[in-house]
Amino acid sequence: MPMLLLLALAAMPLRGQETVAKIRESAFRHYTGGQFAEALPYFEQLIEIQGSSQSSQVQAGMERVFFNAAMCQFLTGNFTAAGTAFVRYNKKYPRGTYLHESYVYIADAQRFSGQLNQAIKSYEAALRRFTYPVDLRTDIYSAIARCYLAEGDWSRAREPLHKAFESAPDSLRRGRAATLLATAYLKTLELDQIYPMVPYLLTRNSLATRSIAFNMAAIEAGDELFQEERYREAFWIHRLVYPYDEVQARTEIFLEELQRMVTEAQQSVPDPRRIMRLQEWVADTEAELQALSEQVENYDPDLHYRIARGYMEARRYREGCHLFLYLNRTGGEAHAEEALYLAFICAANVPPRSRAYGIARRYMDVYPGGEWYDALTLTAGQMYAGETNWTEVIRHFSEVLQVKPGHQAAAECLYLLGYAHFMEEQFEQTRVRMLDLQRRFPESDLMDDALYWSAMAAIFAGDFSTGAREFEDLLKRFPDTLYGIDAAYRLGVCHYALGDFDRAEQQLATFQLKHPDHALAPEAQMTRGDIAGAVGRIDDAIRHYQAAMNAPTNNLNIEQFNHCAFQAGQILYDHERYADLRAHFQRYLAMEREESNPPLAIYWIGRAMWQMNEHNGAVRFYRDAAIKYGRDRLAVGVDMILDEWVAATRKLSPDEAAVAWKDIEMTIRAARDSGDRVAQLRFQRLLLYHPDLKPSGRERLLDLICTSSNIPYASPAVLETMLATARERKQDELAVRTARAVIADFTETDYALDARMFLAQRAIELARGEPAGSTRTQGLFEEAIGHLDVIRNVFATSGEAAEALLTLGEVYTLLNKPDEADQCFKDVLGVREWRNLWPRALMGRGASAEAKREWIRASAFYERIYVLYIGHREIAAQAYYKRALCLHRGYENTKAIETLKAMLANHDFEAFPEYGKARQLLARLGGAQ
Amino acid sequence: MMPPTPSARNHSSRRPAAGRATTAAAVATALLLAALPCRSQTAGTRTAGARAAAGTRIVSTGPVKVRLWSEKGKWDAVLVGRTETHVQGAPDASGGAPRHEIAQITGAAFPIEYNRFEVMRALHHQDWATAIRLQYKAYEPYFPYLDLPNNNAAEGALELGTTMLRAATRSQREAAGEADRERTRKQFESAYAVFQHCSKATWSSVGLLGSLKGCRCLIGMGKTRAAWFELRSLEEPVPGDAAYGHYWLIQAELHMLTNGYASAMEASVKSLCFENKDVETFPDALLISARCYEALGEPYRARDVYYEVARLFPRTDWSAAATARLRAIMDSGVTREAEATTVESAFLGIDEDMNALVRAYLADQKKPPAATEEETESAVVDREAPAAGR
Repeated sequence: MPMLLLLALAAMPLRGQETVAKIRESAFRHYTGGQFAEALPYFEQLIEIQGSSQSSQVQAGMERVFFNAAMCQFLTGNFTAAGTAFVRYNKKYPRGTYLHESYVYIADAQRFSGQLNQAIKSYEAALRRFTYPVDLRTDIYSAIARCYLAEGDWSRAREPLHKAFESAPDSLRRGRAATLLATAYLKTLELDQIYPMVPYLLTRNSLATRSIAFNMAAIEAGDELFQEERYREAFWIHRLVYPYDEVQARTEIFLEELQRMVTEAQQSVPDPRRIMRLQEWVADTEAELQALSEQVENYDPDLHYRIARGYMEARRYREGCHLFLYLNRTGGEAHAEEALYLAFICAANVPPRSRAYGIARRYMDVYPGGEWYDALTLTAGQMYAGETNWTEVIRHFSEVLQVKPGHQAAAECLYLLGYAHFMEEQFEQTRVRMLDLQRRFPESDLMDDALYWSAMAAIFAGDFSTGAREFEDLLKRFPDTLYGIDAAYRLGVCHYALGDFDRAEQQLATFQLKHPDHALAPEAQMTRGDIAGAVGRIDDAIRHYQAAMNAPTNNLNIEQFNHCAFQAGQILYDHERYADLRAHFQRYLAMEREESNPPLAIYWIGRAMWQMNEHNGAVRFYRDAAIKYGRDRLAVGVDMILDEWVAATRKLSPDEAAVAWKDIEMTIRAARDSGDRVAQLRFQRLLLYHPDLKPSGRERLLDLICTSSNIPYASPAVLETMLATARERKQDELAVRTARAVIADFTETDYALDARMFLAQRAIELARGEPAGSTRTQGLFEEAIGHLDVIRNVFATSGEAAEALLTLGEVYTLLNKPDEADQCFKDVLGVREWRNLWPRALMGRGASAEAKREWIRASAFYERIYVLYIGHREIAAQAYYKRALCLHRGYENTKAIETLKAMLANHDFEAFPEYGKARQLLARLGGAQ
Repeated sequence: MMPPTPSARNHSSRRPAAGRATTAAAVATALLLAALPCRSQTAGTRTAGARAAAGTRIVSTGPVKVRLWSEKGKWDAVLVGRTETHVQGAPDASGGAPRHEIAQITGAAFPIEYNRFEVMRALHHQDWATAIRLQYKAYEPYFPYLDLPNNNAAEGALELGTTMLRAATRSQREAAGEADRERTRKQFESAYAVFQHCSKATWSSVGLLGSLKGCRCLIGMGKTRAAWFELRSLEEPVPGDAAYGHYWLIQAELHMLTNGYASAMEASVKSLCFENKDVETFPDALLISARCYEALGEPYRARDVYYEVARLFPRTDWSAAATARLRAIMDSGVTREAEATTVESAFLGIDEDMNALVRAYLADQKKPPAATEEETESAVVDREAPAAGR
């Protein structure tokens, strides 16, 4: 009998006087109240008294006593004594009610006293002898597994864990077994065995959420898989790991709950096995928590990094991007920068691009000297270039090279920057960047690229001499360059542009010979046509042009194709080869190239016929062509043909002309009958040129044509007529609607130019009538600026562009934006062809300077006007007076007086109001003559 | 038995979110009650006066045994009904009918009895019908009382609803005709009703999760507008919230049905990236992302993700769905050509022959599963007892 029990028995004074019934009552009362230490002496006393009784009734009544005595030993931690007591029970009751439990407790007692191998044997013996309910069976399997795990033998623990998993009657125990099983398989990287457990590992109450053993095993397994280059599996396993903070929080909560459950279990009807299980879990959980805080560093940032990286390497960039951005926010200094860079890399691989650009911007702002600055900025720039967003390429790389002149990929940056400038037709900047690249990185792989594009920029800027030199240099230094063929062709073009026709012809002929199938061969042939035309080799020119048009590769773009066609046509016409001309354009029409210009070809055929004295034929041909193409409202050239028809009929005899006009009238009827309103309007407009048309008839005709319901059917010439008529008749609404229709439907034609100018001028006029600075005024000016901007940009070389610039300058002056205004006027002064508008432009610059109160600067502009354009009396008078006024305001009264005197000495100015004003000013300045 | 503490019951949240859950779920419940007048015995589309009357009117239930806790102590009761503010006890020996104010109750434990082992086994084998049959019978009596603070039925009711949702989802996937679809719709409706009860458990994250899972049922019932309406009434969770994965998963499902795959992809990615530890959302979010990859013209990624789901969740409905799509992708040959290798991936990226892996996996699926000996419930049997041998 254990010493503890003897001592307990000795300490019970009333025992001797008590009846068996009282002892029994005390024993069970203490036992059910969870007071096992107190219960034990009573149970032992009962055994002492009645344990050897031969009465079967007494023996039956003592079975529970023997068993509970063992349980008391067990539950008070006396495992050796408990083992002995259970064995005693087994011997006494070999068919006892509690025998199956006793078997398990014997094993448990051995396990708790460290006899693990013995315990396993005992559990197995229990399982051999008894079939247990799943609840107890689960505990037995778990206990066997615990024995193995206590010795670190994960492999032998698997089988009992499997059985525990299969038999567990609740999610806690099933999840627990699943986690331990997964941990066991993680140690040997048997992943296929782990996957069936995954749903249990990802359950809210799973042991995995708080098991250090599991989570550390998963981290180690993931790392090992990574080392073995099993990246996908490494990523899957790393993703199973619960974050450190979460493990800690969940473990603390679980421990709290377990402790509550233990208390609750101890206060309820005793369920020793449940209490034992809970207490074991409490011990486990406490150990986990301690291990977590003492032995494991927070692995969260590294874990997040690995998972994000896993997504990235698996090319699941959206996922990677989100996680890297999260890591950037939460991962601390060590990870923030790289995470942001990698988020960018991920974002760069998936739409929308704006996300990548946003991240790049953030990185560039936060880490201007960052480790990945160069790589990131180069990639971002390449992305812009890939989108042909050249404005952004320029903005981006200009900033990058300014922030980091020593960029690791400076050559690439310069190259892309220069290329973007080229695409934006900023040829000077292209050359600056490409030459910089050549100078700074002579060993770069991009040298031939740089040389080629600087040469290209030179020729596009009109500097063919530099272009030729650089192309030659390129071909010499980089004979194998990818640009070789192209450069060879361009070199020929340069010679041609420089007027060196022989070299050009030689170069291009050689080119054609060497590369007959190259895409540029027809273009070379076309240029050879230009050369031949320039030196008067007419037949060669026509042959080259026609050969280029007929090239089997059909590589000429439509502009080049039309150039060949119409150049050849012009030559044929000039040399009076009308039959050839007619045949040439008939072939052109037969080729039916998309976006070709049939009306123009028809025009030329008609002219050829006319010259061949087929006057009536020409007129009919024009009419037929107009009918054929006239249904298409957007076919601009039809109106041109009709104009040519009018011109042709004027040269016919009166009878022939009358017949021709009759034809037109019939055509109108036919169009009306067939409901072809487009053709009807076109031919009705033609009647405006009828030789017999009376003014009243003309007005009626205009009434018919000029209605807003006709707008959707009106060709550009009809719209033009409508606009002019509406303006003349002050039908503002119709004029506006017509102008807007022209702009919408014939955006890039000259018709649109007039319409825009009308709308701009109208807006300015209306704005002037509104209160300054009002919203409406602002809106009107903005409308005007919009139109004028288009005119000056889209029709940059036309006279209308100059007019637009001047008007724009005036608008900016009214809006008190002197810098913008000055730029407009300056732009006009930059084009020689607009020389007649220079006085107005200089006047505008003077006004801009005045607006900035730069009086002396303004006076200089005015001086230039009257010095250079003294012949323009009115404007010179204004310039004299304005200069004097500016000099006065700039405290240069002496010069002002001199200016006024010079003006007043010229009596040609007397007719202008400035003359009188000058006289008054002179008087005020005290310089009266 | 001690009353469960709020912290212990609110274990599904990794961030304290009780306030959020309370407000959001209450709003969601109110909205849904308005939309579904016959859903509850105590609320519906009624006038204000009727609502006030309902607040005091007792709605009777079957007798339900319970142990209740308050700050003053614990007591056993049999509940036979309730109002919005009180629970009604059965008449006692003296003929009195005790009422207990819900606001004073701090805990409730119902004697929930069912064969847990059978349920565990059924769930393990994805035998949803058995699990539902056993659990529904056990939890149904307590549905009217899920709002009692810290009760022990809410969690189980939520699990029951989840099982019902899974069953409905499976039926939806397998539905072949109109009759099947009608049956599926009814399954979603039943699950929705359970989640409606759960959504009243605003004292824990069960309430919020009930509302969110209810949204998934609404989607299954074809009521996407109602689902959007309800979802928008919830505050957007942040990573770490119990609701995070569900919230974005529902967004993904809704986007897939309404706004298109790009938005669905974004939402599913948020769900699967920031809630990869919740089996109730993670595999579904992966499947949606795979579907989106398909729709967005990225078949290689779709293949990868389906393969991942098939491998990580073997012998589940998710795996079955993924395997079916994997097979379709492989049969279509869209991934036959080797994928272009990027410069980055050439150095470090995953460079496996995915097609070969998938083919091997699919071939493996054709083999019959290995027979395993199953554990079964049993009474104690002593094999050495004289009767054991007979």
